[in-house]
Amino acid sequence: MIDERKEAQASLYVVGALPPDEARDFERALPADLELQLLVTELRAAADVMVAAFPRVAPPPDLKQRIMEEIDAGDTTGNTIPLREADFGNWLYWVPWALAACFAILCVVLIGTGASLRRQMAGLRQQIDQVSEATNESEQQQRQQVQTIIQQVTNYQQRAADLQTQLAQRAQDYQRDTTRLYDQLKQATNRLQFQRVPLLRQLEEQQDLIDELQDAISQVTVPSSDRFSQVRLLSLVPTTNGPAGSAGAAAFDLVSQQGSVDVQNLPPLANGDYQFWLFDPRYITPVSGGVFSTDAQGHTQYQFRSSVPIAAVVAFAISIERKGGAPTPTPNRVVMTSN
Amino acid sequence: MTVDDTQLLRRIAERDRQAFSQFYDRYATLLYSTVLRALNHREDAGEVMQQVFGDIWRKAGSYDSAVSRPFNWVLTLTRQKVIDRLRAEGRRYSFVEEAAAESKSDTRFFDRGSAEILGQEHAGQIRKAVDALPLEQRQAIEMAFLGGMTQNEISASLRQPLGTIKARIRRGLLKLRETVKDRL
Repeated sequence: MIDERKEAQASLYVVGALPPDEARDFERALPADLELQLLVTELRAAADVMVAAFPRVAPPPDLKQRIMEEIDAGDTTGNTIPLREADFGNWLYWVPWALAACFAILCVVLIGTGASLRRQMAGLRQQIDQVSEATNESEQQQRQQVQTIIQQVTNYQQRAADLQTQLAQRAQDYQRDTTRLYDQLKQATNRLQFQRVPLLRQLEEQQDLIDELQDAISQVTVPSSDRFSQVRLLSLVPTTNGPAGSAGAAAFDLVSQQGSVDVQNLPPLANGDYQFWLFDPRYITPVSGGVFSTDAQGHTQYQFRSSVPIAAVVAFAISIERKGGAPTPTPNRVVMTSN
Repeated sequence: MTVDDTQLLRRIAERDRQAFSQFYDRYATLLYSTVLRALNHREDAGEVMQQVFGDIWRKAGSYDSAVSRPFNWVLTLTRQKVIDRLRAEGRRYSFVEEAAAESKSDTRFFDRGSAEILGQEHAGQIRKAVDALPLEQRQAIEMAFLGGMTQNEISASLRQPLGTIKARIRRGLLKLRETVKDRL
């Protein structure tokens, strides 16, 4: 590849503008660079043709004559041999002339042969140069092709090696991932296996519990036809200590152990609470059904759950007790009873 | 039929006066125009022409057609003689004066010899290509090519940076190369 710097150097060299030392350096580099040689040849031809554009001026008419005379004089001078005085009658006088004539003829023959050989040699040299140039070009092309092929093969080998490396890397990654997943799966399976045993045991226990509960339910369940008989519903009336005009009712479900109280016209208390009582024959003292208060109209309604199991209810009562209630009813402070 | 320049030179090498005369007729105007342009002196130009054709007569046998064309060989001889003459007389090639003279004259034409040397059509192309060159590029090329001046001498003479001179010569020759490339 010829860059601008080389182009400039070649241009300057062709027109003789390079300084002598640079010209010598350029000439030394020239034989090794075929591309540069071609450029120099083309630039030299370009410079030479420039003179064809100069304004034409015909040479003086006598110039040709002068030149022809000059070359004739030069040839004559070069070929003229000066004659000298001699005895033409003596035959020995002619011997050297005869030898000279023979020598001259021989020289002419040799010169002619030499010129012919030079021409042949020039032609042969030209042919050799052409063949050599063609061979060089061919060799250069072959070298370039071989280099190109080698480069391509190298590239392909490199790519193949890269692909093999990538494949091996991916295979290793795949193997590693597979092993890791297998280990995780195995660990998870083991964990589940370990968890399975207590869970099965819990399941069996839960099943047993369900069975037990079902048995218990079957035992405690009362037929719906008897359900009402298990509810004790009694009306409440005031005692002699109680406020006249008060009234109410209370109910207690022996199955659910829950009760409900509803009273009217029972005046609200400033100090103390009303306390509801249930009378179960199995207990010595009445069982508390909770404390309550009434609103300004003397009304209240509330539900309660018995704190102890009640098997039967024979009566209800309401007494006035201290705030928060008492463990047993105060006898003279009972204000309502079931009739 | 036109005789080939190479054949003429071979015959000149064999001391063929007729071939020499024919060669002179073909090249004289082209070479004289070149020498006169460089020396700008008719008598000097005539003397140089005598030296050039004397060299052609004596050195024709050394011409190698494998190395160069006859035109290029003869032009090299001519340039060398012109440059020797300029240096011997301590003169410098003067492009500007020549260009002015050229613009005033209407003597530019192609002689028969130039047409034979370069080919009629190609000679026309060359002239167009040279005319198309910027004046400063032609100037720099001619100062080196015919004046024998180095890049530094041209730079100093024109008072232009060295890089400018290099670029002018390079660009000008590359343009001309496009014209002659197909003929090589």
